[in-house]
Amino acid sequence: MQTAALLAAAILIGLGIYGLLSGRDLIRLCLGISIMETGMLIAFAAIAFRPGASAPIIYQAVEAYVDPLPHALTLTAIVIGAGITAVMLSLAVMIHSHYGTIDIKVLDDDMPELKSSNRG
Amino acid sequence: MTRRGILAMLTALAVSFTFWRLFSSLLIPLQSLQPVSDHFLSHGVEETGAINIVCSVLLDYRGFDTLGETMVILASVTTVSMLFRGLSHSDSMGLSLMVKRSIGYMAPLFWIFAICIIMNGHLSPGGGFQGGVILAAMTILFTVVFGVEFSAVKRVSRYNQIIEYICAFGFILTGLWGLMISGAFLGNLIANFPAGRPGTLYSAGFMLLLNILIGLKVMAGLSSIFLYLQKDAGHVCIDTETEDD
Repeated sequence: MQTAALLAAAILIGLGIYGLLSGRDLIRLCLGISIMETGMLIAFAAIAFRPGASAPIIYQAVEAYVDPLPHALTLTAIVIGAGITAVMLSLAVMIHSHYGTIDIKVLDDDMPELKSSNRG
Repeated sequence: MTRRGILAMLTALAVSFTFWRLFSSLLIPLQSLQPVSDHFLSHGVEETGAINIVCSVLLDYRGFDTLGETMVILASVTTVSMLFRGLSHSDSMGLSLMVKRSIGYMAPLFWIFAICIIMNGHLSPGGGFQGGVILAAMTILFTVVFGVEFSAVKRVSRYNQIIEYICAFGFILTGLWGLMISGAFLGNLIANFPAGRPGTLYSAGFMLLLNILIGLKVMAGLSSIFLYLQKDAGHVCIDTETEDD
């Protein structure tokens, strides 16, 4: 169970890295970062899991509970990921409306003012 | 496949494999609970009054982190609103009459579900963040189905900022009350908030209050992010429009 969840998390993180490195599209970069976040959340849930344990809500006698701390961290990470995604997407929209493209290569080569600020 | 694609794929495989090895060989064998988690599980109910231990970690033991987390939402809403300042809403008329009527019948159930999740945050899985996201999804649904000119949507977009500020202020005031009574910021039961009987609605001190505040704040924040992002950004091309070759 844990192994399967970890495998899924590793695959998702690899997919996110591939999307980040292979794409030149800003929306694609946002998607890659979001997919990596999802993989990390699944890894948190896998760490918290213990065989045969139940959810950490204490209203009846259960022999074991799963670790509540990664769950709290996961909740924090989801909310912060939503905020980061919102800022990334709005920056992409703004870049598209100002420069007419969201291709990083076009932005890098064809915009002289961006180029001078990038290359010093 | 280009050289760039092959390099990206190799890097992704390497990162994926490293992640897999790291977690499966280092972290998973630690099957015994860490001391801090063990303390949360064995003393959480008597120290916080909440039977949902995740909620007691979020709102009592690490309440200060949750305050910072809500500030992250506030910061991202501020950034988005700064970027989309002064743009007009895109005009949408909504969907057909059939969809509008059926959403009208289903909306009360959605509201009850969200309020139930928020109010039972310290008793069952859920809480302010989850219920607030459902409330924000209600705003999105109303905007898509009824259009931006619908009066409820306009009212939401008008009062979003003020709801957000009031809820953040209420959170900080709750923490300052604990500081004044017990000497600990966000002190819950040590600041004489009523513990109640664990497992009932009015228990766990200020957690019900904080869940309601966080739920309203997340609703206001996420729905105002949506309402900013659906604004019409097509007309602000200034002078650097790319020429067609």
